[in-house]
Amino acid sequence: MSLSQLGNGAYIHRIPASSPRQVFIRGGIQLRRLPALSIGSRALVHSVTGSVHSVYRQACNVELNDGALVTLLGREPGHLPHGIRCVLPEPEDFQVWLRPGQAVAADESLLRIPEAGMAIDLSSAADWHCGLDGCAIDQDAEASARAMHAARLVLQQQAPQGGFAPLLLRDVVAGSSLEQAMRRRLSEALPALSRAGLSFDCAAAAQALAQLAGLGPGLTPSGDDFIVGYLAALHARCPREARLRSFLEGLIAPVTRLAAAANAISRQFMLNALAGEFSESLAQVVLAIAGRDQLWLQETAARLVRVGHSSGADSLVGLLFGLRPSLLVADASASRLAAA
Amino acid sequence: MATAFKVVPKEYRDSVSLMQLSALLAKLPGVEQASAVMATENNLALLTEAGFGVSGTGATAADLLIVVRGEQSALVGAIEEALKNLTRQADSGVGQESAAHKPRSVQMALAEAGAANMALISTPGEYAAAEAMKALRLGLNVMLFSDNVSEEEELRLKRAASQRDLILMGPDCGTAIINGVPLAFANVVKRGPIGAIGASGTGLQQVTVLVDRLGLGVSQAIGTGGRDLHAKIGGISMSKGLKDLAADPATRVIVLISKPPAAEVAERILSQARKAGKPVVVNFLGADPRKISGGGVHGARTLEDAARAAVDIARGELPRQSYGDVPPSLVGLPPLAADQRYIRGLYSGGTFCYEAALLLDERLADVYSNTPVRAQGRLEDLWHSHHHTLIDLGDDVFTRGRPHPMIDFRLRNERIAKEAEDPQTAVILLDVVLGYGSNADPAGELVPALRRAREIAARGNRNLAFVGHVCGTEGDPQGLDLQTNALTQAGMVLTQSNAQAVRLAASMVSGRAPGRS
Repeated sequence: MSLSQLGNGAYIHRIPASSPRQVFIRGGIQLRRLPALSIGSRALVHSVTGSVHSVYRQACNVELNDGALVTLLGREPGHLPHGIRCVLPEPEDFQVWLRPGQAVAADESLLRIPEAGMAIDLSSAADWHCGLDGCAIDQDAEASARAMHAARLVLQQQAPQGGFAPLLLRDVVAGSSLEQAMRRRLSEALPALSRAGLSFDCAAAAQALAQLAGLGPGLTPSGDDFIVGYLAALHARCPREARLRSFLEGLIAPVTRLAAAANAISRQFMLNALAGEFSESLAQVVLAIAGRDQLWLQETAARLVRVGHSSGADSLVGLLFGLRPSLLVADASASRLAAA
Repeated sequence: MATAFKVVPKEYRDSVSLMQLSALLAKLPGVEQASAVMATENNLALLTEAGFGVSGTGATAADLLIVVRGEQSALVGAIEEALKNLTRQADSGVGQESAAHKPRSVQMALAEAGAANMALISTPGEYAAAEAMKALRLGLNVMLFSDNVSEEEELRLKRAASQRDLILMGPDCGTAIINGVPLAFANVVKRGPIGAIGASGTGLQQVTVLVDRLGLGVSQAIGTGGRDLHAKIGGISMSKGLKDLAADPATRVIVLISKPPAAEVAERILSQARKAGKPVVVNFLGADPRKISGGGVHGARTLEDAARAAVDIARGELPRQSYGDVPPSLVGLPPLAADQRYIRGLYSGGTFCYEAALLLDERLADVYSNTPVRAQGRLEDLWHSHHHTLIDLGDDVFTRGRPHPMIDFRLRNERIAKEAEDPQTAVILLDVVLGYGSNADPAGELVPALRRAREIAARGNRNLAFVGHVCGTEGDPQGLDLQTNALTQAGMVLTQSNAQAVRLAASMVSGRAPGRS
């Protein structure tokens, strides 16, 4: 098996197993065997059951009976810690093959969806993880600062309408009452989170994050995406800032509580983030900043901003805020937000 | 104002669908504001703070909440429309039968339509070159609508097309009319003796529209992509188009349109044009027409001049050197305050914006744009106007994650309001592009924004002038008369072309702002 390695996301290959094209399950039912290409580090599917949760063209979420989410991915989207990338038959569209509610069962080598007539063969899939272990961003390095500013510029220029980025980085004329309310919320929560981060005050940070969780548009609301990006920043700063480790550990319980109140999709991303596992598109931006590679940064940040409608942009806002709050909430912006 | 809401339990629509649903509902008559969000605790609190009464919904973070605010009579219909929209999306998403019948590759499509000789490719840029190459290998001409294709890939594709005697239109080719069929952003024009080749989408639209309005028609309109006349590409597609139109018996006059080409490429194309055996009108925006003219080639200064010259030649008349230097009439325009000195051009068409920059730069000092004529005229902060400012809102900066401004007017309408707040704004210059691909009712989108801008200016005891042109024909789906009537009634001053609109705007601020010395 040959997999192209994207960014520094790491693949560990398994020995390919011989794969007959059909699988028979109890009752003589015949399932089409589809090979999985790779399995994310948090796609825990051994001996579990669950059901199809939600289906999109290039992704399908499966909710396991223990509440965890596994996402089947087509060939186009970036990888996820809880993702299994597989090759669908033509047409390569999960919506054609799967419906919410269909039962799913998995053992070590097969994930079966009998009602869809398919079984995903996990035996020869590569393991994927986001590759941020040991990644450290040196905030004081000039090249890192330049990379962060470049990411901010990408955000300013390319973030779509909706979500946090336009409210923080652009002058939006006479926004709707909903946008104005969201600005007010950000004007309270972000400076509070910034102060809490500077003083390593977990309780205050948890309070500020609670004001953001579930806030805003999108299937994964902007606030949830922001929290994931924020946690990515803290993980990337930890190796160089010893005090941050205990701050991050202090956030595990409150963020777990916030995740419990979120929808299943947001919840999984937040729990991944607490474990230091992130989507490929977000991890690549972190690696580009850590590697001080401005060209790669521009490319990866632009790719991240295109994820979902505003999800990618919101997680980039969270990342930059977690690295350097003044990039997004300088005094002037804070007062502008407050005045809105 | 009243509010209505609907909770749709366990509805996990992707974020793009939710955004589109919110936008759709907000545009319904009688609806002032709408939102489709996940019903999290914080979103419920936010909606309450924003004046939507959404208490006691019983919804959870896993549910979708649709909220609309507006006239009581409109709310039930809006909620019904939202639910219908969700059902439609679901149907289109899971329709196995229809999906199974869609061809999944160029090869499959060709097998189903064996006589086809052209493929229109519109995929994300990273896949576009590979798909275009597959089409070329199958012997198809290609219109490559996709952007984000590198110049190296463009050259490789165009060389491959050239070896097969095919044409590759693009990448980023937004406009073409082939054998009378408008493709992508194009207008419904009569068929006739004028063939056009353009490295610019709106440039082609302007010329073909004016030819139609002047009573003649178009044989073919071929797009080349904006980089075709760069030195690296060498005008491969324009050269192929020129060769084909020269051999086409239905084409009597050829028009070439481009932003300034690389000098050596321009020379090569002009040399080929002089040997075409037919009259060729050339509008290389910014080039001196007198240096182009000669040997069967007529240089034109503006897109309008190019269209008029082509029509005159096709009718057997001598073309004029210039058609538009007569100052437009200022009679009936609103009086402006002393401080109102600047033009703010908000364009959906990139070439219109560039042409405006060229014409204004000849007349006025301090012209800034994201399509500047000279380097010092580049606008650094695109979100804030500075002196005379001309913005191409089709720039990538503005179109990430949202439709092109010819389709989605929200950004332009916001910017109109912002310019109206500036006491120095005298004229707001606009283009309105009709035809396939464009918004179904541009006037319907613009008129409320013009009204609002006037109200903003009136609060500061100011008038505002709105000047522009409608690039469209009576055959266009939106209807030229319908659109122009609505805009004129809203107080917009409409001219026949972009060049005329720019000249009129310049006349209005003449003497108020520094002129070009």
